[in-house]
Amino acid sequence: MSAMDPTEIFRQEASELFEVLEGALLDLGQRPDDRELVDSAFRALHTIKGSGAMFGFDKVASFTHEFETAFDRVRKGEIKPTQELISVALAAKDYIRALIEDPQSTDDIIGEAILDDLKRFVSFDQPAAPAVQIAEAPPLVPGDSKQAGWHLYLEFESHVLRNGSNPLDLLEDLCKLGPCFVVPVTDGIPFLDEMEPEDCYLKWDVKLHAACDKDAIDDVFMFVQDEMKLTLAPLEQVEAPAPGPLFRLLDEEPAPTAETVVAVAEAAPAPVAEQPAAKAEPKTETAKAEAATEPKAEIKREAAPAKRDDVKQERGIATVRVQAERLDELMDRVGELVIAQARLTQLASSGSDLSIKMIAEEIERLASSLRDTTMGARMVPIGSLFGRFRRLVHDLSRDLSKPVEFVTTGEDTELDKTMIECLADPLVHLIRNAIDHGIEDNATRAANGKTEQGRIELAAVHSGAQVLVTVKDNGGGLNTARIRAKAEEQGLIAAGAVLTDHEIHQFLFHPGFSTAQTISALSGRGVGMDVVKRTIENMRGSIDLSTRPGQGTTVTLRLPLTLAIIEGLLIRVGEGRYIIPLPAVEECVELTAEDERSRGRNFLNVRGNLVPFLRLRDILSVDGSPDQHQKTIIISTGETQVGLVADQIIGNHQTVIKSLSKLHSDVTIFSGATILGDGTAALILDVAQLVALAQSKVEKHISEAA
Amino acid sequence: MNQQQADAMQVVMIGLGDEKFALDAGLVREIIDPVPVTKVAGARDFVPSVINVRGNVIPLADLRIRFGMPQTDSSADSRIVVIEIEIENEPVLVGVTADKVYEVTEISQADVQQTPRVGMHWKPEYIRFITKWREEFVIVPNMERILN
Amino acid sequence: MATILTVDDSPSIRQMIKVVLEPAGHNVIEAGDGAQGLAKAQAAKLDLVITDLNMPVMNGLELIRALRKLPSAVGMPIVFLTTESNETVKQEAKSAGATGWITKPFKPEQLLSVVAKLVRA
Repeated sequence: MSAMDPTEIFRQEASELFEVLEGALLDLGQRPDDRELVDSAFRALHTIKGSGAMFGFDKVASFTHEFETAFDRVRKGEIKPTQELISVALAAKDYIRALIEDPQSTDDIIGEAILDDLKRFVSFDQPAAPAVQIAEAPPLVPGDSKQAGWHLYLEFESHVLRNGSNPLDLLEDLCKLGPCFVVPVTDGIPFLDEMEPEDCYLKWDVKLHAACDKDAIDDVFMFVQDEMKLTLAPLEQVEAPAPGPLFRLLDEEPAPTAETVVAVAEAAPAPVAEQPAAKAEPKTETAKAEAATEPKAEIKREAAPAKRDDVKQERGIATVRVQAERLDELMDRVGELVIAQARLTQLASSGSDLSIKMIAEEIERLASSLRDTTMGARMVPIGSLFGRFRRLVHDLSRDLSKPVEFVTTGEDTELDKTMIECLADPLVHLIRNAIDHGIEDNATRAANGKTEQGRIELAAVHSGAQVLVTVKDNGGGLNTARIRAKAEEQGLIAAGAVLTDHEIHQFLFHPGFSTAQTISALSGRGVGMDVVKRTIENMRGSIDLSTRPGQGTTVTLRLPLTLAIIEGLLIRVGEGRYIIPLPAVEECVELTAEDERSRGRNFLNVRGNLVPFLRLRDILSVDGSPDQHQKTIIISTGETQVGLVADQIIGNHQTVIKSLSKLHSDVTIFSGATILGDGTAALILDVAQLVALAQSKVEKHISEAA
Repeated sequence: MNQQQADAMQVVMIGLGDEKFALDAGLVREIIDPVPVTKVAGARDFVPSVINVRGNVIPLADLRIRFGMPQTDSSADSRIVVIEIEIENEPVLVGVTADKVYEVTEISQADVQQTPRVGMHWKPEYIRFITKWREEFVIVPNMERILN
Repeated sequence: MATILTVDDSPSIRQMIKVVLEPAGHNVIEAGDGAQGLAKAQAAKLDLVITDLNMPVMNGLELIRALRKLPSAVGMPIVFLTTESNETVKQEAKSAGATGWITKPFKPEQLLSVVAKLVRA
């Protein structure tokens, strides 16, 4: 971690802060009086400003400064966070984000326009605060004279030692400016029994023989200026610098060059010396110190509980920060371990050495729990993704003049981080669709006796080894007749063909299929539902639609928990071994002689249901004759079942998924590959593709029969 | 001397059938003994299978297909040369089958031959150039083209 | 050399402090808020604490006060980070027990000079 570039960390951090900020701003739209939200927004801005300046994002710092000033007034209750202000604030947030992430993409003019807006809302009545500047080290202003040196008199407040300042260090720093002649003034030292061991009683008279600036001396005492009396006068007459070596303060016995010097060195450390008495005392001492600061603590305490609460949200993302690549690497290593373990298990089971078998089992158990732990570490709550859509809904709702209530549930549901990244675009599309096409316009809603405000629900929930993500609207529902008409018009179905509504809705996933009557600026162009479907299927997930006329549409995405390792069913077809993802497997049955005979039909009778089946030997172009007892694995995606006929079912297999290279991107029936216990590669069958293949065969069969 | 260096090229010399191919040594990651191959149904015929190389599943390419040469049985000399090429701006590891790996050597681009000997069935875009090495013609294939 | 605790809710600031101080031979411990900072200060012998003021859970002032109650932190220098050149903030922190301050944004040499002021070999 230590090698990580702080600027890169800042970028990541800023991106999280933007989400916090955006969330707070959007919530503020609903709950303008919530102080926690204002505080949370303010703190995010404050950090962006402070850190931005540190890492060279000067524009960010100066822009954010103005933004922060505006919000400071909200915080002080001087102005209200109106919807208009929030919209401007969101635009300002976007601008800052652009400044950090892609400065080329934006222009100062935009920033100035936003600032003007902000100022208008906040009605600055004081001159605009100056932009934050990178503080320079105190410049060495030419001194007022070229005198020979300075005569200083130092008197510290008694508590100065307790607060971590050490006059000896300060004297030492002073000595660095030039030769010093230091005389301790001991008249303030009380009798021993009156002495507080942690107090400072010494004063010093110093002659500094250096033509340095006053600033340089102030710099030495900058932290203690308020806790000391410093009198400073130019040395009136040139005194000879201390003879011999430069004066140096030493904790140990100093060279006894002059009596006075010895006095400094011996007397000064006494207060800080770790005497047993000092150890015993502090309680009463610190109690006093506390009493002194008590009134201020009171004031602070009021603000404290509010802070403690909004921290909870930040905590969710805080914890340990690890580069995403490292997690990927870790997962790779675990994958290799699982593969090596599979080899060991295979070797052990073929031998007769019992102790090796036991070790192999132990390692198998460890590898499996390590795998679970590692996958767990890659899991990210989906809430981080959901948060982004609130802005989308906010903007769409405004642009389309459709008031929409956006409800999210299941933010805590965890998914592999890679999946979360892949889900963003499909969800954007589905939510756009829901608002643009799902939710009716105001007039229609009113006519149907619906509330003016539409409702979009985005939910995530665990379901076995899968996560279901649903986008639900309470709009008008799908217009089945129109979809059908369009499908007929495009020649996808014959006019009058008998299809269920559900089957008709599937045409929405057909490439180039769009039923939007008016192509709006938002949806109806660019990516379509076919792209959404493909993306989801590439994640080994599935998508399903259900709709009720007049009541709305629900799109359900079923996703595996992870992309990295799955449980698979290892099968053999001819000489080759293949993996079928286990969650897709419903059951395994033997292909009966009767099924065998009905070669032309390719349907299987599973407890009265006709299930189409595919002979994997045909699909995988395997030569030679099939085994005598063919096995059928029934797989399903959603509601569609398909049988796959194989020669042998070998068993369950922990499948570390390796993607196929670009040279094989044209091969669609495999979703990836893995490595088996004996070190050979095996291909993973793409369930969705096989189901689609089977269905197309069925359709062909039906149309041939017709 | 500089001229000579500029023309010199480090290559891994492999034999396939009756031909010799010189693979740019800069592309070669490792040379391994034959491993079990896994056929990929539906793949293009010049990348018919995948293999496991140190835990990575990588495609195994057969140059013979691209050069219209007959298949040869594997022998004790057979090797797989793992090379790294760019496909769509991403590095991709590919195994290339070889009947024999001769040596890592230097060829000179100064000896570049016109390609009269090349039969009609050899697509010129698959060949960077043909040169002479120890009185023999060797083909310097254009791996990016062959594999794209 | 010195063991320095940096308390800041901003990882980038902590990292910045770390990459400046570690090459100078210091051992840098990190904490993301005041409460963590207090826990770490109790667990280790520190030579210096550098803390932000505006932090979740326990802010910098609360941390400074809490640290000053620890017997082990008597005389330990505590520096706070502030974006404000505001005197009130400085006074408040000083009276809470802070030794000094660093104004954000700071440059590596400024950080080093402050550390050199307060930490002796």
